[in-house]
Amino acid sequence: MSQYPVASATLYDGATSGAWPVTLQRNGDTLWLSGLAEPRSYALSEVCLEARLGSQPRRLTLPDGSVCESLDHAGIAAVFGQDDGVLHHLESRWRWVSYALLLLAGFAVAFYLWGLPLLSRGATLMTPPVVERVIGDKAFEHLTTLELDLKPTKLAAKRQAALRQRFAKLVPANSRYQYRLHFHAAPTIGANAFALPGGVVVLTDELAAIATDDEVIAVLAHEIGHVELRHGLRMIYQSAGMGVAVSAVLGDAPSAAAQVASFGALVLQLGYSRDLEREADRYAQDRLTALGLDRRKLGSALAKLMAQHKGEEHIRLPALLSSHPDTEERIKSLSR
Amino acid sequence: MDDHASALPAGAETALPHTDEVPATPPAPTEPPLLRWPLTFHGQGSEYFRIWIVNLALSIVTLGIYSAWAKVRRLKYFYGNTELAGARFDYTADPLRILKGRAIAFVFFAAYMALYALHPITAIIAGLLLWLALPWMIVRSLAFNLRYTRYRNVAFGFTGTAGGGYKHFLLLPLLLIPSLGMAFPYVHHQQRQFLLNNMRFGNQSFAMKPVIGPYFLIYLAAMGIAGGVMLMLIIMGAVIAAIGGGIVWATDWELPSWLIGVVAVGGIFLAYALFGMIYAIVMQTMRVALLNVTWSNTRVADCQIESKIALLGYIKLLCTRIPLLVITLGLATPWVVVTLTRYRLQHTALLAPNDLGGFEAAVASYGNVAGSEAGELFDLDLAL
Repeated sequence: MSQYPVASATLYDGATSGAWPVTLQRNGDTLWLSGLAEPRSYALSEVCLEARLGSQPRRLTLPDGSVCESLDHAGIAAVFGQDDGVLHHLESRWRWVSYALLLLAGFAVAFYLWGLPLLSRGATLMTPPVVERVIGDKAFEHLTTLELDLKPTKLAAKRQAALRQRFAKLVPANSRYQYRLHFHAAPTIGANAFALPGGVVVLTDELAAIATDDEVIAVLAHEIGHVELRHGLRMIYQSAGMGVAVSAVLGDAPSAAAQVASFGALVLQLGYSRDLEREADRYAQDRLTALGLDRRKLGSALAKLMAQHKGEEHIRLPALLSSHPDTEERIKSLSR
Repeated sequence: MDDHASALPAGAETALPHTDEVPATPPAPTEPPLLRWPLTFHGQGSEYFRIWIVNLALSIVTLGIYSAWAKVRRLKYFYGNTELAGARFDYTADPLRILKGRAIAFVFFAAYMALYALHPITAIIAGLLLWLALPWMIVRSLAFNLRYTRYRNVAFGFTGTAGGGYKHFLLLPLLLIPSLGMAFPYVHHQQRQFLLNNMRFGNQSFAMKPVIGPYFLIYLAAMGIAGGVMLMLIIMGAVIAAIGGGIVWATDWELPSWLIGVVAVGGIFLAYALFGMIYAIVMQTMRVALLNVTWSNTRVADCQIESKIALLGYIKLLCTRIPLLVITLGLATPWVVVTLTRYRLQHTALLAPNDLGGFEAAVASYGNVAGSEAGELFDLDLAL
């Protein structure tokens, strides 16, 4: 029988952890196993040879529940034929590996472009409004104490009261948020207004000084749009999302999730994306129209702001007049 | 002369020092000389990289369906490349059952999310119920994974009950509230002991001696070191910033605003990266220190486990490999995982009186696959 191919292996019978060196030999459709007290034979169709995985031992499951382990790759190939399986073929060719790499890179880009905005929109839908309020409040505390030089307002009490009254009407009746309008003198940032998640809206004295009440109201409607459409949260999720996605791949999701909570002030550093500004513009125009006000006031307010800030180098704020170069275009479309 | 060393099976080392003297009296029969069986890891970074990348690509192409096969292939790679006394470990779970479990877990998760969007209060109650099911899932997932872990065709197993799971993963953590978290090492220790004492190989139980003291010491040391290093970094950062600011102020340089922006953002980014790295290194080192203490005090039948992973060497490895992970955006993961696994395993051994051939298989037990996969979906890392 020595003309038939042989392979050496170790037999584990499944009843104990004992190991028996054996020799596998094939004769037609019969597999012979020798080296034990008595040689055994199995029909080839009854034994199951596991596909190759790297360079580790091959495993052969026999119908009686015992298993043969063999590092004799050449012998196994001679006995059973050279069939390593599709997966081993893919895994051992660098060509396929590079295709896989390309696919992954494409997937990562697609995820960044489309998946992340979609996911952040979904995550925003799932987040209770109270979370936004906490994030917004923390960010506001941070602002007043550290980042921005916000000073007590010098706006006349009468004008403040009038603006507050009109602001209260501007807020939709069924809003989930409790709006808090803050007036502040802000010499460092100048004429501006911004909103934080959860309903904090800040208006600077400098803006109130150059704009009419109607224009101020139009600007505030835009800020309410940011809050109602939950833009702050969406930006937070989008920027945090990439980190979470990377951590998830590396297997550290929980600690990444904990970090999300600390992203409050991030809204201010990132600014809203162009699309979100446009959404807020549209919201403001619809709101103004619904209240029977002049929808072109937002455009004229923006134009005044731009004139005011022209050539000025100031801390960029994700406020009304953000760093996007297309503000002029925005003004044009808003004046229609 | 009957010298046991000459009769050593291949691959074994004597655990006792050699002496040329012939003992006047034969050693007591109750204490047979122990053989040391070191663990060897044969995995290779480039080989695993190819398996890993194909796993990822196929999982994406099949919208996650292949991930069940990928899991089996990954575990098979690591188990099958781990050698003990001439034999390899194996993971034999059926991917189809894992897929089924994953599908169930996914449906639950999706239903929960949908419910949350529609009716948050009901969803919170449902979430609470799910949380109540966690200990059961932990026990089930462990039973499932161990049942399909084999060595020499003999299966491991887990005999812990759901009741034990509730006691250790739901009731015991309540201790953290009155102790303000100080009891954490104790809780962790008790959980680990519950898991190990219910683990079996064949019909033999694992047994872990209580080591509560070392657990507290390791946690304290980790916290102290992490705190100290972070404080040092903050002071260093402040000093560098002060010196930089001083130079700018003294020389009255006109720095362009973009440069200041780049330096500020770069500094913040660097600080984040450094803190993240220190956190990761301390956590990983603490894990390995706990691993050493835990395994070194664990026996199975008449075999003693030896775990002597050198912490300094491990820290050195982490210091070079974690930045590598960041720079390659995670693509170096396979190499790093293989290196760290090899390092841990080559410092682990089994001290046994024989060639490990005497274990008997247990009668079949079962574990529910849904528990295991739900556990994975909700990201419970219970790796021992």
